Amino acid sequence: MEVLSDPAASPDNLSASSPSSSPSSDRFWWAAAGISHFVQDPSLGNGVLPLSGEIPDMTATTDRYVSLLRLYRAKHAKDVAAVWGYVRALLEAKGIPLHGAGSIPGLDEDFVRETCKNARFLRVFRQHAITGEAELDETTVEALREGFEGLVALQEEKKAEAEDKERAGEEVSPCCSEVENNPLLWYCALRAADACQASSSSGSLDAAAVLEAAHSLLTAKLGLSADTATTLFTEKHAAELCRYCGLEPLPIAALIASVAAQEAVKLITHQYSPLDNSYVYCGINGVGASFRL
Amino acid sequence: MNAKICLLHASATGAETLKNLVLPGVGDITIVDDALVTERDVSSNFFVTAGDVGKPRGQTVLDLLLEMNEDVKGSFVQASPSDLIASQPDFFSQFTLVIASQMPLEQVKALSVVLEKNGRRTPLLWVRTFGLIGYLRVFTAEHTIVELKPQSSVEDLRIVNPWPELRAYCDDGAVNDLPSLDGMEHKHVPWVVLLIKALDAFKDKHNSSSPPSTFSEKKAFKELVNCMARGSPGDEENFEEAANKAALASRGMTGVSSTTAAVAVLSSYCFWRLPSISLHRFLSFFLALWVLFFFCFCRRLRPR
Repeated sequence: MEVLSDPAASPDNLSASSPSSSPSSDRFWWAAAGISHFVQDPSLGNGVLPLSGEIPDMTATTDRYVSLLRLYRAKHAKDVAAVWGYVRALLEAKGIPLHGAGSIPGLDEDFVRETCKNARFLRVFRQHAITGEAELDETTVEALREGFEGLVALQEEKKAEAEDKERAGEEVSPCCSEVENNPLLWYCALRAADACQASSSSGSLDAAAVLEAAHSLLTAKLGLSADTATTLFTEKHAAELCRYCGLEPLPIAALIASVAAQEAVKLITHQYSPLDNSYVYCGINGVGASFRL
Repeated sequence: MNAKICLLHASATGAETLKNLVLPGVGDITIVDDALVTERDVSSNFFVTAGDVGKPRGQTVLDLLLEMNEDVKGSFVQASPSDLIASQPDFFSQFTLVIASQMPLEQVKALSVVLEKNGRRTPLLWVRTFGLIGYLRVFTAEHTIVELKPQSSVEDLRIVNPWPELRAYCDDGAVNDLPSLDGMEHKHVPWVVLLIKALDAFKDKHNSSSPPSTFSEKKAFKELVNCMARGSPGDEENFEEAANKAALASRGMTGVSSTTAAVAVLSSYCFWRLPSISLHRFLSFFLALWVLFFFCFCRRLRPR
């Protein structure tokens, strides 16, 4: 329903080729407008979506199953015809040809049929811009702050656990890998490294500079206390980044590449929902997490 | 597939990503790189050898990649990606997807502005490996999905609100008059028809016009379906199926509201996590991931 009530699916906003949209989403919005009209029209959908025309397997004689399937298929075909009819009428009203020059690329009856079949699963993603993330706008800061709140809570929980163990006389490891190698911290480390590399002339990384950049990111931009920032982001993080200085160990590269290729296929084929929007993997303890930044 | 993919920097991460797309047969690849192969590349990049040191890195990687799948076309542009972004922003409008590998934030920021402005809203994938840290960022200004392929979905069968033809079929005394059917036929009435009929009986019995909505009503409806079966419980499989699907005959199961439900479920996917894995399980995990990826998409990408 999100999609159908989107302003982009309103007939007033559809045009031959809007400069702001890609060819693949142009046809999508025309079909969405058709389905939206279908749902609203009391003589057509009257509140329901076009039928997909498919029924699951069920215990039945072949005759009974086939006659039932025929009913669903006929209704699906009728619904598609209604949606396609509306889209065509809309195209005509706006003076856009069906085929050839000036037409909407890829918008045809087959596409409308496919869209009707999946009417319940139409989806649109509008992701937060990288410019906004880079400049640490409100959305990004909010997301990072929320992440750090969780991390601070986790740290305290682990601390309490360690104290309990100590009292019971058990051995306690001095650091907690779960907190120390949290992907959120590594995201900040990467940003700090970028900031340092951009400002240094030689392009090499200095651990002290990375540490300082990360602390200033955590305190000045995210509003963490200086104390929290120093306990969370330590010299270890800075040293780890500088140790490799941008080198790519093959196992990590291969893992990121396999996730990336999967995302690439989703983006190219317009199937399945893509990652929204960042994924950070820490190879030290083998933990990854996704963030909406 | 007629996708056109651009890779900036033929780094280890970038080359591996492209390999995963060349193998299943993506249409056309372009590599933009200005670096020469160094000793450092040989140690991490699978697609360059010690003999290639000093040659253009992009060309070396491209040659080996194209060897893996003869159906894929490819080209190499010897230029610095950051210069290209600044000097020829139109260059990127020909691609379906741009993959930026091993690039710092400032350059990717400039690239994302270029991609957003070129009118085609080309999606951008930013991949980085920085020591033991891996990073991936997807950016697409607007991405529309028709085939979401949810793993589980509730069927939209219009049991609560059948259209006239379906209604007529269920009411047809010649085929669907349950009491008059012989044992064999009775066992093979599809559960969709059974539920519509049970819903009629339920409405009659309770003198209401709406399908069951409260827990007790739903329970009563399920019992009603079970009572309609002949013989001892479990004799008739179709009635068992109907009882299992009885939730489809409750209020709110009309076409539109199930979409809203689907959307709600999906938004919870946005924050997924990989389970914590120890290093010795790392390789098998990666292998499984790769095999899964390969089998899922291999056929889909081939021209039909």
